[in-house]
Amino acid sequence: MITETLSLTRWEWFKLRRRRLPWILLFVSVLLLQITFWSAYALFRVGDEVTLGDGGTASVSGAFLELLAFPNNAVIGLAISHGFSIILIMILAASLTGTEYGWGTVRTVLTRGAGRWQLLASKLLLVALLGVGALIVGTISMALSSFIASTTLEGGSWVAESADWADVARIFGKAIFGLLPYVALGVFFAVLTTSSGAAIGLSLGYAVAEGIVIGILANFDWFERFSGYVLGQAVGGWLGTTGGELFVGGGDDGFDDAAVIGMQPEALQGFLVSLAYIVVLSGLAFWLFQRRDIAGAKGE
Amino acid sequence: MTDIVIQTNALTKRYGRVLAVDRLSLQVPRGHVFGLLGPNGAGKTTVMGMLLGLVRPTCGSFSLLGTDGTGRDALRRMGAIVETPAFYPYLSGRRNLAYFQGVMGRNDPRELDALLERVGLADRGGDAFKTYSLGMKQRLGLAYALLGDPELLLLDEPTNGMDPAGMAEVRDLIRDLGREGRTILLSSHLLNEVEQVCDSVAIIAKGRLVVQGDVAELLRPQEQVRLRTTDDGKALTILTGSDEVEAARAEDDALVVTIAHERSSELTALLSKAEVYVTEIAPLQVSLEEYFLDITGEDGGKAE
Repeated sequence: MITETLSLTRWEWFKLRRRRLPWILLFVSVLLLQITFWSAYALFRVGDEVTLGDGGTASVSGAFLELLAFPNNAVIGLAISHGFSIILIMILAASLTGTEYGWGTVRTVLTRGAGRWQLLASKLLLVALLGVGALIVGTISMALSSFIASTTLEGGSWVAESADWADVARIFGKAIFGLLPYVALGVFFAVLTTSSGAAIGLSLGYAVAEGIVIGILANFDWFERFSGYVLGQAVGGWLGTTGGELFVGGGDDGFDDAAVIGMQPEALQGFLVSLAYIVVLSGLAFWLFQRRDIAGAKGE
Repeated sequence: MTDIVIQTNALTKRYGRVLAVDRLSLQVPRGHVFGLLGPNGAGKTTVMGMLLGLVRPTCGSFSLLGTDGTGRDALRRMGAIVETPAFYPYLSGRRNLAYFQGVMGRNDPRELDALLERVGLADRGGDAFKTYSLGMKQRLGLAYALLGDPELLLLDEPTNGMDPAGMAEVRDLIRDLGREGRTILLSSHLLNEVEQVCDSVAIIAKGRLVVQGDVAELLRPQEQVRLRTTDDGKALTILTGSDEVEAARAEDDALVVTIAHERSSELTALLSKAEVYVTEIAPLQVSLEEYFLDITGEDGGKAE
């Protein structure tokens, strides 16, 4: 079963890499990271000194070494773009599954003996792997940016001296896991609606609506008890955005509690709730896909 | 004992209040080109869908290639096209086939070349599927169905959308496939297609089996000619009394005579002996709907 799923994943990639969508999404991700990096770089170049979170100051080159050097810049870029990455990965997951219904190809695949369970698992696995791939490409692009920027600053080094590589790897791993509930959500919506367009719409709608609803409910005390079970809050808790976990040297660089809405759970609770979302959403998608009749093309 | 490749037992599918397939029991012997004939909406595609595991039967059972239900092992020994073949529009025909070959756990570029050649798409195999005409899509569907050299083929309306020349080519191909010893279940709403290609046929209407048997026997009622004579009344008397003629009746200022096509020339000789001369004679094109009216007293359903 696992061998067949891996084989199907390979063939899913065979056809997906020939679509424009994954490359467009990758381009947008890298572009966003680069905009973040070069905007910060431009801001630091404006003044001779920047103010740090503890009220102290640092020279331009010092601030660059601390925040814009690799891999700190990649971690910061990851933290800033994570919300956007969630949207991109949901679009990819919903499209990869939903277009099979729109084109009617799900029927063509299944009549060649592909197992339903294995087919859906291969799609989930491929999107998760592409998330890892996008992270690697984004990280390489940030390393290149650091290198280029360092050549313009006197005494600047493109690799941060304070970098804790094990910590960076852990943070990247957490970020990947933080994407998985949204992969499951995109696939679930696609199987539920049997439509790529509807699944993408629902995924985006969920991402937007969740932020708005949490923003409103955060004003009520009773919401504190439930907020940790909302997907976005749970993922936020797991990533540690309340404690500045996603930022190297968190607590010293002025990013504490940045843009946090409502109460987020502790990392362990965030992990468990995120895992529950992955299991439940994937389980529902598998169950629906397994038991439903497969109709012809919907012409999307 | 004949080896039965497809057997359905009271196979039924209900969509809410619509009964799409009603207790259908079929037997398809090995090596036969078997026609599933019925008007649009008769339930043919639903039957195909159930056999392929795409549609869950409401009740009843079936076996394929000696195994109960649609096992994945059975699917890998079968090829199928259901309705208009669906492929990835941005991939070339060849890459589409390569993908489905990969799904089957195989990778054999030579097979792809041979199949594209066989269905007449060798020159267009590198073009994107979205640029194909409907006829080319059907041909690619046939190539897809033939991946892995299957022993059983389920072909749902394989000539749908093709021009007459393309239809003739595909029918030749299906006949060739049948001669190679494959079992083929061919669904069609075209009486002449089934007549030209199939050995056996099951006729279904409103999801029910109307009749099943050899094509030569079942479709004989279509062997009718319409003729006008110098004296239709006298001609009718002569023809109804003749051993050569199976049936004759007056209809719309003409006579409709049931006679084997190869013997229709004998009509003129028979009548001229009695000094009745044929002024007009033509094969009678009986539509499937009319044929259904003849054998069932009702027309086809709308449940598919």
